[in-house]
Amino acid sequence: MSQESETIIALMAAMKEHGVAELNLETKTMKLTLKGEKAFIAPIEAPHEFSRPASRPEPFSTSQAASAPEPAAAKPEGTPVNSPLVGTYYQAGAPDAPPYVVAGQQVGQGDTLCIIEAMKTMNEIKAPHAGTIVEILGKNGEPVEYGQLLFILRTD
Amino acid sequence: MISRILVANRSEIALRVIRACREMGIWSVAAYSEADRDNLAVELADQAVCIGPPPGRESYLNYQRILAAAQATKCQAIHPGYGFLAENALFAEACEALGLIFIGPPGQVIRKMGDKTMARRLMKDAGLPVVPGSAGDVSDAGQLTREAEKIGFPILIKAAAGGGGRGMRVVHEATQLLPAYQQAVAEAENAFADNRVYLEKFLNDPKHIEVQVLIDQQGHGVHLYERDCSMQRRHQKLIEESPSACLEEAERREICLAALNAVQALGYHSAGTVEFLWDQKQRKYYFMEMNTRIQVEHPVSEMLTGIDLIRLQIEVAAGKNLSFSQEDVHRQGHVIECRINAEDHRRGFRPTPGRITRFTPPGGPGVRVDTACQSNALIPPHYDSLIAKLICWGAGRQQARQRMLRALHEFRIEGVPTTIPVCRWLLKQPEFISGDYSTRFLDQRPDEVANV
Repeated sequence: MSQESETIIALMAAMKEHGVAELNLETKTMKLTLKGEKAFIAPIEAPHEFSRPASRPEPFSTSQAASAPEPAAAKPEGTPVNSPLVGTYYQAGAPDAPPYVVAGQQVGQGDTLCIIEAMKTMNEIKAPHAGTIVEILGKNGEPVEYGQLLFILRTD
Repeated sequence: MISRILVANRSEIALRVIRACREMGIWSVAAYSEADRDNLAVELADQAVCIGPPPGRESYLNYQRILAAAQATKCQAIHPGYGFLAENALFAEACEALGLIFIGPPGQVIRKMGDKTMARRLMKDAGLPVVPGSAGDVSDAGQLTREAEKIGFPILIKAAAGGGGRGMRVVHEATQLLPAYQQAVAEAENAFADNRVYLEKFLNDPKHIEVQVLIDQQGHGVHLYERDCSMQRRHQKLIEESPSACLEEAERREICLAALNAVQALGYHSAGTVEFLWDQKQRKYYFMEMNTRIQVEHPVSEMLTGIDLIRLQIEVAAGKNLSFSQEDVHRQGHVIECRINAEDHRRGFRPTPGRITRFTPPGGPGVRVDTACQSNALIPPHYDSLIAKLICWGAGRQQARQRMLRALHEFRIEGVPTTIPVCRWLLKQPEFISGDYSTRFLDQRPDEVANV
C-alpha cells in the first residue's frame, strides 16, 4: 500500500474515532476532502459527562431517579419526558431538517418530539400528552442515557 | 487500539475493570442499572451511563442497551466481567459484527465451551481425561438406562446448557433414575431454555481443582497454576486457595500443562479457567468444564503470581502479545480467598439484600479486599449476594490461614447478615487445616453450619 493510501486510511479511522464530520487537507502533493458517514454529528472534544447520582453536583442534565425527584429551585412546571433508551439524541429526523419541536411550541399527544438513535435504529420519542414544550434539555448529537430528562412538557 | 472501554457489569467486578483501566490510562465507561446508581464503581468510572431499570433483562443482560451505550460513548471495547453476558456467544458475536472488541475469547469458542457435552468431547479429543459419562446428550429412556448401566451409580444428571453448578441432580440407584431424569429435563428447559441433559459419574468426595490460563491472539499462552475451590455449598464456591494442599508438585505440573495445551488447541485467546475434578483416592484428574471468562476468584492467582490478569486480558484483546512465557510465571507463598456474601447461614444461606450500615474492611500486610460496597450501600435484591472478596497472602498455608482469620475478625459489616462467621468457622475445622476437605464438606454438615 502506498504511503498516501495509508495516510488516508489512518485519517479516516481517526475521524471515525473522534466523531469528526468533515476533514479538508491540503499538502504539497494532494488536496483531500473526507466526509464522515454522519456529517451532522458535532465533534466530541471533551468526553460528554453523563448524569451522575443525584448526590453529586453536576452541571449537565440530571436524570430523574426512579423515586420522586427533588424539585430544584425555579424548575419550570410540567411533566418530565425522560429517555426510555440509551443512545444518541437528535432533534430532527434528518441532518438538514428543522427540529421537531422548539421551546414554547404546542404539541398534541403522540407527536414526535425527537429521535433517539440506538444501534442504527431511529426511535421516535412521542409526547405523552398534549401540551406546551417548556424546556428542551436534549442536545443534538449528544449521547443520552436511560431515564435522562429530555423535555419538560406543560399541560395546558 | 483500545482507549475507551464500556464496562458491562456491576459492583466489584466492574470496579476491578475500572481500576485496571485507570492504571492503563484507558477511559472507562460504567453501564449501570437504576439499582446501582450510588455504587462505588459508578462513582469511580470516568463516565457512567444508566442503561435501564434494575431487572437484569432490562439492564445488564440486555445487549441492545449495552451495545447502544458503547456506541453512544464511542468505546472501542466492552468488558463483560463475569456472569450476565460474559459467556453469551451471541453477545460476543454482536460485538464483533459492530466492530467492537469483546474482551474475551471469540464468540464461536464461547459457544463450543458453553455446550457442556461438546466441551467434554472437544477436551477429550484434545487428550484430557474427562469425567466418565455419556458420550453425548441423553434423549430417551432407553438410552438413559443403557448409559447409566455403563457408567455405574451414583450418577449425576447435568444440563448441557448449564454450568456453574446449576442444573444438576444426583441419582444413587436405578429406581430413581427415570423420575430424576424427567425432572432434570424440565428444570433445564425452565432455567436454560434448553432441555438437553447428559450423564456423568458422580465422584465421591472429589476436589475441585481449576487451572487459570491466559493466551494471546497469536496462541502463546501461560498458566497461572491452579486454584482449589473445593469448599463449596451446593456447588457455589465459598473459599478458594492456591496452591492446592492435595497435589504433589508433579501432579500440579501435569494438570496445569494439560489444561493449557488443551485450551491452546481450541484456538482460544484471553483469560479462561479449566475446571477439573480430582479423585483423591485414585489420584486422578478429570475435565469437568471450562469457563471462558474471567472468574470471581481470579485475585487468588493474581496474588500468587503477582500478575495483573485484567490488565493482560485488555492488552490481549487489543492485539498485544504476551511479553513473557511460562518460565517467567513464579508462584510465591499461599493465597486464600473468602467470599463475603449477604447470606444468612442460620436460614439456609438465604440471600439477605438490604442496606449496609457499617462497612469497615480489614487491612495490613498481605490483605486484599475486592468490593464496591461501602457504608450506607444498598445490596439490591435483583443480583447476586456478593458483598466482598477477601484475599490473604501468606508465606505458607498456615500463615495465610492465620492471616485470613485475623482479617475476618477485623472485617466489620453491619446491617445485613454475612458469611463471615461461617468462613471463620471453616478455617478452624481440622479438615480445612489438613487440606483434606472435599466439595461435599459443607453440604454434609447442615446442622453444624446453621448453628455457627
